[in-house]
Amino acid sequence: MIKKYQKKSELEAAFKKSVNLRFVWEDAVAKNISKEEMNRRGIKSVYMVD
Amino acid sequence: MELSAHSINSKAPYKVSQSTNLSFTFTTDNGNVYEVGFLLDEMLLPDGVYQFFIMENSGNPMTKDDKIMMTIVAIMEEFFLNRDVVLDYICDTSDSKQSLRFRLFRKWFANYHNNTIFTFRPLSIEYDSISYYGAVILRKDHPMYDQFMIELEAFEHELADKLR
Repeated sequence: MIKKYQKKSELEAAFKKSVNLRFVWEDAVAKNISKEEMNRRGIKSVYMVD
Repeated sequence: MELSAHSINSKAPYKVSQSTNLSFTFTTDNGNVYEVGFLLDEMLLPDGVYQFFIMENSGNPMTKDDKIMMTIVAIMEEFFLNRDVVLDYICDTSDSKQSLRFRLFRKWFANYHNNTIFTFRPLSIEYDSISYYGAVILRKDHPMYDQFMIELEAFEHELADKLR
């Protein structure tokens, strides 16, 4: 169920991504990020409301 | 996943407006502006775990206001209408006040719920000389509750071992 990370580098990358989600979220609510950029960063769960 | 401002506004003392499909903003009586929201966090599972965010962005001094907590509770209740979801929360470390922030969040949550409905599982990790405080919250009737809690314990040890 919970993901298994075989390598330290994989776990480290996943942890950093999780910690840095705050900045993605702040960009999203401030509308400082385009949908294309969100897609590029692999953020699938948010879209803008006009 | 999508949350409804209409449903939240039927319970919340402050009127919330929807910023994104998973984010809301509201303004308090003294002019503080709060953004509250969720974003899919794929660290633990590929789907179903959302990170919770709260931010005050007007810069006005904070005052004690129970209506703020009641509004955040209304937003969380909308989130947890779905029993399959898991909430995780990592305290902002930018000003080194993460432990204070964590204690406040834990107190808020303890005031809001009784232990029969939700589990509040604290997590802490040292990484790169920074102490991270957070929590995982899920409904006790989550369909994979037992397995999730067992594997979370193992994951926490793995984090501590590999990121040391």
